[in-house]
Amino acid sequence: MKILLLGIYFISNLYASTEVEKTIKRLNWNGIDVIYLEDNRFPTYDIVMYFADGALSDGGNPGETKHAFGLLDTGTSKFSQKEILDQLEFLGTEFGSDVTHEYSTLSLTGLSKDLNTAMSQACHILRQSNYPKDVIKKELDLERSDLQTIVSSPQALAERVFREVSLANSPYAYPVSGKILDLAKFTPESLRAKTDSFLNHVKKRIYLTGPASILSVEKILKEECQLEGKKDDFVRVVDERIKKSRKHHKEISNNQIVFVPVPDANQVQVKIGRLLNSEEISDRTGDLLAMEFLGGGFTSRLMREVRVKRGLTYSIGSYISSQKQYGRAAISTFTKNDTVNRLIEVIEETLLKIKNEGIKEEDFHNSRGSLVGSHPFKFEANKSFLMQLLQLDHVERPYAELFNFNEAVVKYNAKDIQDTIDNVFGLGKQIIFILGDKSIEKDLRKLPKKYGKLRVVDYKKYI
Amino acid sequence: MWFKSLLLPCIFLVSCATSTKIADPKAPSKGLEVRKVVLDNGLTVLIAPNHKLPIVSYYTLFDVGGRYEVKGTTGATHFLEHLMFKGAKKYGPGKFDTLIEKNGGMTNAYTTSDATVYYQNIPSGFVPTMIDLEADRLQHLLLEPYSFESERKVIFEERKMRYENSPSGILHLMMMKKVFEGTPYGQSVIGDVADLEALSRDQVMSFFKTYYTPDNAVLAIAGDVDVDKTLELIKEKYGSIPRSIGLMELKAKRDEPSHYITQAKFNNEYKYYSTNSNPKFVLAYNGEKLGTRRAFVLDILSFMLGTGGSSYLTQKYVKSDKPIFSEISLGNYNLRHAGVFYFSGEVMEGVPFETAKSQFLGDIKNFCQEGISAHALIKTKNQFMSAAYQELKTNAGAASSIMMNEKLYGDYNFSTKEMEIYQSITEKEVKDSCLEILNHSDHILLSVWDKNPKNTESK
Repeated sequence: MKILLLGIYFISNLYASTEVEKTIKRLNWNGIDVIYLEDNRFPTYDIVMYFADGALSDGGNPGETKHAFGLLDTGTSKFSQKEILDQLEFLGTEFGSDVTHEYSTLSLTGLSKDLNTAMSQACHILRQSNYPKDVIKKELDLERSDLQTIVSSPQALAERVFREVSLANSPYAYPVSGKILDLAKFTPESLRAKTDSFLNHVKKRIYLTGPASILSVEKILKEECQLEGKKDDFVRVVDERIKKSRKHHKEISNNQIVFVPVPDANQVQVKIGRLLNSEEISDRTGDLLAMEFLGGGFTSRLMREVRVKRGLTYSIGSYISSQKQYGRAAISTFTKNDTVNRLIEVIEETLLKIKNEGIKEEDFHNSRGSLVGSHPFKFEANKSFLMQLLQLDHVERPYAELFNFNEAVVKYNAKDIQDTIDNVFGLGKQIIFILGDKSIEKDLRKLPKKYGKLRVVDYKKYI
Repeated sequence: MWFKSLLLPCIFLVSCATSTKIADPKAPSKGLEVRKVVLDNGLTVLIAPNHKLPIVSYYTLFDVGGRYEVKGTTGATHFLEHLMFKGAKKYGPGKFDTLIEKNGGMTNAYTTSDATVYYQNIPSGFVPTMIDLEADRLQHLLLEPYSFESERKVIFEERKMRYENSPSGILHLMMMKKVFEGTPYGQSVIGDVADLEALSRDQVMSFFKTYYTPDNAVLAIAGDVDVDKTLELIKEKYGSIPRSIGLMELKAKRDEPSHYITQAKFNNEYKYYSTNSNPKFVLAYNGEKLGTRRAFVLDILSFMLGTGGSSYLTQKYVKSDKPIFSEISLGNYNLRHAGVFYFSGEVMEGVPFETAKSQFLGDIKNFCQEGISAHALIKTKNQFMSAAYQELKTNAGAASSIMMNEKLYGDYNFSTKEMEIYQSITEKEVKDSCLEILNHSDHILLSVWDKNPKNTESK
């Protein structure tokens, strides 16, 4: 019966995938690859401009790329920041940027009738933003204030510190936005030079969705943004640095407990995870299955053991995420102050049980069914569909991975997932990260030595 | 703000006019194709087919929220929401979410002062089972004692996450308590600690039996379904569930307008303490209940003055030469029987709270003259329309919109009228409402301060 049901889903999803695949059109505008999803249901558009470089380009000026993109709207010789924001918002346009270590994006969303006007505005600031000194100072002051007060958001602070601690000694450890001390280094000239470098020398792709009428934006991208694709456009590659990081990775002891004390918290943030090297992120389908089984929903193993059976938390999840040449894995949760040690024990017991007793076929089929059945949702919102295509292009994998996903999933068995979970999340390899009230330190010191040495860290080093 | 969930774009499925100023509000609109049926037992069913992908969103609203909780039982509605996932007679404990997730679906729920909503995103092949699962738990919820106690602990953790450890959460709880003092809206939806500790299984079961009835629910399905077959199955599974006895009378009694007359002590200031380094604040006014023209005008006003980098408040206080706030916004929260209109913000690092407060309170009288313009009004309407389309792009957005419109306005396609209302609002109306509320009404000031002033790096 199960096999029959799975078969039905495969057929329906195959149909969906095939139909969806047909909507992808590949174009070339002035040497730049364009991936277009035609959608005539709504008079709206989404456009994403991809640049094949990111924060790894910053070298001695951490955060520069992030701020070059993030502060584009601060002013040009023609328009003030207020006028720029007003023009974009007047059309109901959402304009934003995102910078990772490996790549960067600029995106616009709005009504298709206004795309050309909005894109003209975007091209103007891309080419003409002069980052007025007084305006960027105000923006950077606001950012500094946010960082100085991040302790009021325990989850955000935990994510920031854990990220750097768990990726220590790799090129990816330093935050893409830099730290407080870095904010003083940005100048109008350095930001303009960075933007020009990305516009003129970095490989670009365009991802676009909406009705056919929006293709007229090609002219604006060519003439006003002056976007041009050249054979020698730069693409970030970090092989050598990754090899280095792998060496460092072996040198640092991941088997440790890192405690970040904060004042007056009655809830403890717990993260258990580590950096994944490039050879550990090659099996994305297997990773997805492992994530789904371990911490992927209300019925995941961790949710059942930690929340449902014991009421130790409101939420627990796991993830294995990756870019082109590195990845991260983590279990993330929180609990009250007096149950943090028990929480860690329960997570360990859960992982050990998977390692020693394996995964029941029924549970494995549940996780596989979940991934297969939910697959069509990846195509529902065109923006998220576009971003998946962008991610596949970035990691240089074929779109077939997305469309043939269900066929790939059936090749796995319960033992594969058991091994992946042990390899990725086995407790001997992890950093156990705890952020909470300083009073819990004495309890943490009672944790068994097998979890590693307790290191107390001041969060201010990480902001 | 309500407008986000209410601006539901069942309209304008054809291209807008080519004007660069504003889309034509009278543009031909098709609306969503929706079939509405009310079963004999009072269950309202809405189905909006969309065959683009083999997926479906399944939404169920029960017309019960925190406002129906009596003294000593705050949090019961939300507690029950958690327990609804613990199992029912036919499928047994632990099966509800297991069945949904193993078939590729997801399920969750939320509770407000006015309603409890359950939702699932599922593959279309799972719809028959989903109907059976929902009908099962509506009739035969188990509420096992073990699950009950375990879930009580979970809710305490949720309470810490959302409120006790969140300065903004504290402000929201206390704003509701103070502005709606003495009314059902002043009660905490997640529950007071003492009430949560004392709530019994019998109390929650009684709550379930009273309010979870077909004639107190709206079911909305959007996605890849055969409408006739789905309706047939819904009738088969839900049709025999009896309608309520005496519920409508009970609700009418609970909803008597006199219960919603606030006893708030306006022109007072309240301080609280949390983990935030810089003071956060809310300045709240008595607002408007849902559905009146004034409520829509206040949507426009709050958005116009306080949303976006180019908005009046952000330009004046955050992006000015001498900023006093690191963030500032204006909200319009319309509930079924009352509303609150409120500024919320955070004082800029290094600016004394009293200085910022004094300047801000002194400036308010000028907001309506300085911040409202024809240009800002068109900009707001354009932003509303753009947001409205975004919401319709998923089945979940469509199902949620027709369900809420049906419950709140008695018209699943109310979005068409709603957009017409927004488009018809004039600059003068916005200005008049602005003057009425900001220049001639009393307010309550709530602030939350650092309980450990050494937190901040540079202080």
